[in-house]
Amino acid sequence: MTEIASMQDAPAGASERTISRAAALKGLLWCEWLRYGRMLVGFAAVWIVLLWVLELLFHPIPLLVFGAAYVLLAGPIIGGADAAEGAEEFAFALPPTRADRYLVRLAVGLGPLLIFQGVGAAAIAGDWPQAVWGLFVESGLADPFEAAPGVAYAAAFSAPVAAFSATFVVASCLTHRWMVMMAWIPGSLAAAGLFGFAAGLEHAVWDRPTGLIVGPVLPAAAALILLGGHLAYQRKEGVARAAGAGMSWAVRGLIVALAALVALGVLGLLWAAEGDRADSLERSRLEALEVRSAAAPLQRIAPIAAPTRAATSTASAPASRPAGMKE
Amino acid sequence: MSEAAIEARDLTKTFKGGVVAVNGLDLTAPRGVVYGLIGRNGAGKTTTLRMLMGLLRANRGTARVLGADLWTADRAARARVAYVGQEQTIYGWLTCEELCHLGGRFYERWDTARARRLAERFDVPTDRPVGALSGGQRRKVAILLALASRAEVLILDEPAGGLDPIARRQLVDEIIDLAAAGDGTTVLFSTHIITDLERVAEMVAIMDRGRIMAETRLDEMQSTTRRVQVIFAGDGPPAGFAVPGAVRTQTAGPVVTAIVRITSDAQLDEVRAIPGARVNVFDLGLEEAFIELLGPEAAGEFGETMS
Repeated sequence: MTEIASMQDAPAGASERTISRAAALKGLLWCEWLRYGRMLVGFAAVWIVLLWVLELLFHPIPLLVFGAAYVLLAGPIIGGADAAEGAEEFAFALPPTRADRYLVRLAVGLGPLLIFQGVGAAAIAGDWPQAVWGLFVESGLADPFEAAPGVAYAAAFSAPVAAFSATFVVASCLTHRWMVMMAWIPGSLAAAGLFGFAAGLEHAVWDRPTGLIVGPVLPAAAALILLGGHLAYQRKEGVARAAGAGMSWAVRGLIVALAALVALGVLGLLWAAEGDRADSLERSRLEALEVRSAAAPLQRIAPIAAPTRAATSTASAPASRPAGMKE
Repeated sequence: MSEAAIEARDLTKTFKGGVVAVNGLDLTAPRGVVYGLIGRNGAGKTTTLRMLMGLLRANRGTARVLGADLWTADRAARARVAYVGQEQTIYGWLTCEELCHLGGRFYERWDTARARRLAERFDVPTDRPVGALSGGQRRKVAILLALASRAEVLILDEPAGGLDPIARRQLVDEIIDLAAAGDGTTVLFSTHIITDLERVAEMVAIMDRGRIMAETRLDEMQSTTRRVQVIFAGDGPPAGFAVPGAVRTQTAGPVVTAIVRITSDAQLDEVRAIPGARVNVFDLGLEEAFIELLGPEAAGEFGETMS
């Protein structure tokens, strides 16, 4: 048996101290870090490798997929772990209030996602990984710069944020283990609905998606959802133990079927997006060939930019980078 | 400041499906007492304690601990109360040592020396994740955390459940030590084990069907509860006959047996003077008194094997 070691900030014997809110929140943060640290470090490692080393996150759509994976795994776990593990009664009986717990959990879950998606989108738009690694090669082999439309960047950032927020809120307010773990379904559906609404507005205003509404509307809606969740969580009754064993097979089957449907839907969307992307690339390639054939034989290839990029994004490559060229 | 450490008035909780778990419960635990709550399975003890802790919201009535409603109380008020639930699951990924570190972050009077002493006394491994410990050891960790918090009020729901006899004895001794220390700590605990109750409780409340049937000092409970046997000469008791002060009455032919709470000598004289009948008054042991008060169907629910 090991003796309880000397504890940081804890008195050696009986004494009275005043514990500030900041100190209590710090304690909660420490506890949550012990709980989710490995998972978050894992996501960070994958993000670094995919974005900065392998550059597989070269477009907002793969970044969106990364965000979706984060929502799927971290959303229910961070939002509803206490209820799923049956530790909610223990947690609620400790001095920190429900509001304290909610805010700390939110910071632990949403904070990394904001960094992953925000920095990731900016890095893709600015080709920061290539700038960091200095991997520009002026080979003369022109590969048209793949300019993603603004709506793709808006979606890559705001859709996972909205989906995580909704998933977090749903998971926080549920008490049933199985339902907690499936909280990403309503969370994703809510985010998809919001995205559809915002994209529809963009079509109505500009006759094409621009990301100018999707970008701000989804995070704003996420903030409202989180506020509502905050209020609801403060009225939550703590469950004494993990519920879940009593769920009927019919309900479990329904949940699995729903999950499969949502997964199929996401795959379908990705497939459609990939088709659009391939078409766009092909068009750009053809345009590049036309430009090349029209230019003088020894003239340096002129900057080529897809129309959508020119229309929606000015945050292109660094000045030193050969315009329109990518290794 | 209120003199009562724990106070509930007209406390009512109805669950989904219309199940009334607690129905208009009144309870008062003065500061510094060890207060036992006893009752049959499903009597509403756990629901009552969870409402007092602010884990459940009452449909009606008030529940206050040290003057605060813990459902809405701030962190400072909550830090004055510690709780061990009946089926509480502690964070399984933390070790006992880490949990103690966490306790030091939350409780203003956290006592590391006491935590260390209890860990040794309970023989709890402090360096292994709590999730890897046995059920009994996890229970000990929960009790250790509650006791080391040096909270002014301890609310313990079946704290001895799942403990071996030695650990149970150690727990009871710790509660006795708390009471003997005289620092004003109030302990409210529910139990099925009357011997534990007998050893530590100063006050006791008997719960049945969501209500407090009796709330009194333990010694008074024992001295005032009697079994009264009234034997009539004819076929049976006269119509409308009732033993004065009877809590429960059973009639078998000419014999009426009643459990009576005798609160005064005058009442006892009145019972003895029932006309036309022979009256016998018997003293009851504590366990017998509880069982008689709760009805014969409660027999077997109170004992060391029950948790």
